[in-house]
Amino acid sequence: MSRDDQFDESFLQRLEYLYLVSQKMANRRLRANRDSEIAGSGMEFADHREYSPGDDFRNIDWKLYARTEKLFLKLFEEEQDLYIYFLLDCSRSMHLGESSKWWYAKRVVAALSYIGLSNLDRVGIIPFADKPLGRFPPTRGRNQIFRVFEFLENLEPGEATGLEPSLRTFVSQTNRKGMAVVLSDFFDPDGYRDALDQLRYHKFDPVVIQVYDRRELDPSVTGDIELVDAETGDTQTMTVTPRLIRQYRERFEAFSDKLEAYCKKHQMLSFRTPVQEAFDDLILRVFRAGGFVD
Amino acid sequence: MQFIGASLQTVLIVAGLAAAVITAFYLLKLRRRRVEVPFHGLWAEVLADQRSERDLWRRLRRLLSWLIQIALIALLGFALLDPRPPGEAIEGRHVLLLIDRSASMGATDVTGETTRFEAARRRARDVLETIGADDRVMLATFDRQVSPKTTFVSDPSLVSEPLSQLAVTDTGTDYQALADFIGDTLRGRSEPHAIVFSDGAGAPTDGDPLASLPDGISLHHFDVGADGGNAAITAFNARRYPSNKLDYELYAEVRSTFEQPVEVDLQLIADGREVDTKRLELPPGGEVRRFFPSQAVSGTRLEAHLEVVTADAIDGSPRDNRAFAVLPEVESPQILLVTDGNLYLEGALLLNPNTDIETVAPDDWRPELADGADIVIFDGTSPPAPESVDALYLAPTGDTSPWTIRGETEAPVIDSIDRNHPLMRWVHFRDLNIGVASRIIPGPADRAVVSGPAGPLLVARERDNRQLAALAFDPAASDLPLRVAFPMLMFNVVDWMALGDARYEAPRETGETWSVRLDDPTASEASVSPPDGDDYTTPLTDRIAYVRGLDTGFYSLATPNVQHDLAANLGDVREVDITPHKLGPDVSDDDDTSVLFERRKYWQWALILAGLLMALEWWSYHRRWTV
Repeated sequence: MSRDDQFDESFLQRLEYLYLVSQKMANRRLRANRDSEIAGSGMEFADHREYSPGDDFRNIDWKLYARTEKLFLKLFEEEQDLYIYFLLDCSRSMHLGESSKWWYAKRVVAALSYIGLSNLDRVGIIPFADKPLGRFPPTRGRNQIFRVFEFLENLEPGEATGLEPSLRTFVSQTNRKGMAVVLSDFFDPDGYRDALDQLRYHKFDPVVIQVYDRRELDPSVTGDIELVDAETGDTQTMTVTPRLIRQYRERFEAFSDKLEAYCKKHQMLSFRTPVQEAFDDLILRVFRAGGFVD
Repeated sequence: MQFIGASLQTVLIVAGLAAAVITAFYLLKLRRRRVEVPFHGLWAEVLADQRSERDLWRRLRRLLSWLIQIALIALLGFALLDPRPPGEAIEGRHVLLLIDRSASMGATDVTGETTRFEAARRRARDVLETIGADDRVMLATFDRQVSPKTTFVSDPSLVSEPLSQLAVTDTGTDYQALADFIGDTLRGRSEPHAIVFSDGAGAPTDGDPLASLPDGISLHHFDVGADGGNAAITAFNARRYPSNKLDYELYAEVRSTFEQPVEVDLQLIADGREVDTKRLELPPGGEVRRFFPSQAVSGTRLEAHLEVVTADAIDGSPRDNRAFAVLPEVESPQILLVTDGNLYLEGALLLNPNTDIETVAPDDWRPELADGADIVIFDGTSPPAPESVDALYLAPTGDTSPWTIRGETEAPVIDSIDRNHPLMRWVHFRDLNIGVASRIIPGPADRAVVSGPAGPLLVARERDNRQLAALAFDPAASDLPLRVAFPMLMFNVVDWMALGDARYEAPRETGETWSVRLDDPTASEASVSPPDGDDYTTPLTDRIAYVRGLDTGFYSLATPNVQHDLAANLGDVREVDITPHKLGPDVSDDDDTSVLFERRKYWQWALILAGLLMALEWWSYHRRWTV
């Protein structure tokens, strides 16, 4: 499949399948779990649901009762909408080589966006590099998915990675709290902790998806080389040997484990996925972890 | 160390340039491949841990690769110089290889080879392997004479082919000729070396000709063979009896060089059939001669084969255990008797079983009747002698006889007899009574065989390849017919005129040049069939063919009209003693390996080492040790 038609019909079919799976998983949970934690009186009418004993009878829609002689509650926007923000790393490190991480992350964003839109959540996309590089404003409804695709297809790559400044800018510009899904390789010279802390401190619900390419852990070149950082341009002369590659692999594992441990420590969902893994499998893992199926 | 390849200056210049280029390449090689990574921070962390232990190795690695390349250039330059050990003499040698192919070299007392000659050939090939580019080598053989097989050539392969075609002969050895040849060939040449491959058998004990070669010539003797005994046939003859040409006797001489008495079997073979075997006992270092009479076996080609039967005596040279002899064919001469009848004469002639006699009356005589006859006997008639026919005249008279007759002599007496003449073999004229004899005036070609005061009574004439004889008196007018001498005289006339000395064909000696008469006036060349079967032709000079035979056995010479068989036996009996002797000056280098010009080719090892280095470089490159 070429890069140009990554959001083609077969992709949509797969998204539909994932949505059905998510629905199956969601039906197993209590509907009350879906209640927003944000209490408030939203004014915008969103939907109806049947009255259950214990519900606030002030929200009973009496006009509908007159018509149907059944009790229904009015649901207001504030109570139902979940804002899902996808923070997509567009830095050069994501575009290295065949840009496999970049394309993979976009497919994941598209898939999760579809799930969210199908669940009538509000989905927004914020690409970033060293700062936010635009915004797809939160939108709702399944039919918006094509706008999502279009937005993703037109994204341009950025330069260096700046997680902290990007996320700090994001939280300062976003009033509506919600789920913040960060898709990145997290290769930031300044680290990721401050960035993720920004989300936590501002009451966002961070979800971390670390994307990596297995080929980066097993380079084909050996011998004397000059290493060049794709984002900073820093160089390093070295001699690649099998032993060195082994050590690098161990170092990467340690790095990823630290990220995972940090997320776990702060009750953040985290996923680590190689681009070689089918994005469907990642989505299902997300579902099993409880994300997007509340 | 000495260098005989490219000049040192050239190699140094070329190697220096190559090293400079290699070094420049290595300096340029510092440009590394650029590899982009998403985040070099992790790499930096890994490298930080290894920095201290990798710096030195990294520098050494680069140096190692450069050193291997420099070492390769050095080895290639070393190989180009073609280094040799200091003591090795390599410049412009003239090497003369001399192979002994005399009869003693056919001895089989060498281990690993069939004969001494094969051992010598193998050693000669070993020497050829060491011939260098600047050397010149020549091949010659020697036996009774020295025969060069090549000129001085620089390519040993031009010598290998003739060397392979050499064969041992049945001739003796002339060491003086060998020494003369060495001196003449190598005098004045640079670095002359004469290498003699010989057993030295038969070398003169009173002064070795090879001990005093011209100055500067190095003589090396590769001796072959071991001390041991040998038995050989040194003489073998056969001859027909004069009185019975169908019968013959044999003579054999056998010699031994064993230190103990040995018994041998001497087998006699006629025309390929075994006819007899005689057991002989040979004393230590001695010889035995035997006559074997009355063989009375048909055959013209006779052979004698010798075999040592004593258990612990090993015959060192079986090649001299064969000898050959030829009996000339016996022909029945045709005699035309011109007579009115003479019983005494006819009876005497008939006593010879080897003759065919025809009689014709004098009145019926015509010269054409002599065609087909070998001898014409005129009894009581004296016509002119027929052309190309031998003739005997009994009591010639008149002017038509071939002799000049001047009267007669009454009761002549005999006072002179030429006993050496073949007509007089076993003939005695003691107290011969003769009634009357013609007085023959002998001519310039006449020889008086029997004479008296009044003149010759028996005259013989040989001229223009014809024999004529005249008995001056009529036998019937004497008591000669009553004597044994009369038929004996007739025998002798037939022998002398028709059979010649067909009793005996002496074997020829190998190594000699034989002159063989072939009476064929129409032939200008003759074909020669030697024992080895390789026939060839030789020109005739005055009907004589000149042949040099090297091998014992039967030879056959033939023209379209004439054939002559002969036998050849060992010409030099000194070859029977096969005891090896050292030739040349008494030198201390008895070690044969010192004679071989061993070539230590260091350049080959240098190239091998260079190849190994290249393999190491390739392997280390692909392992990314040095890049």
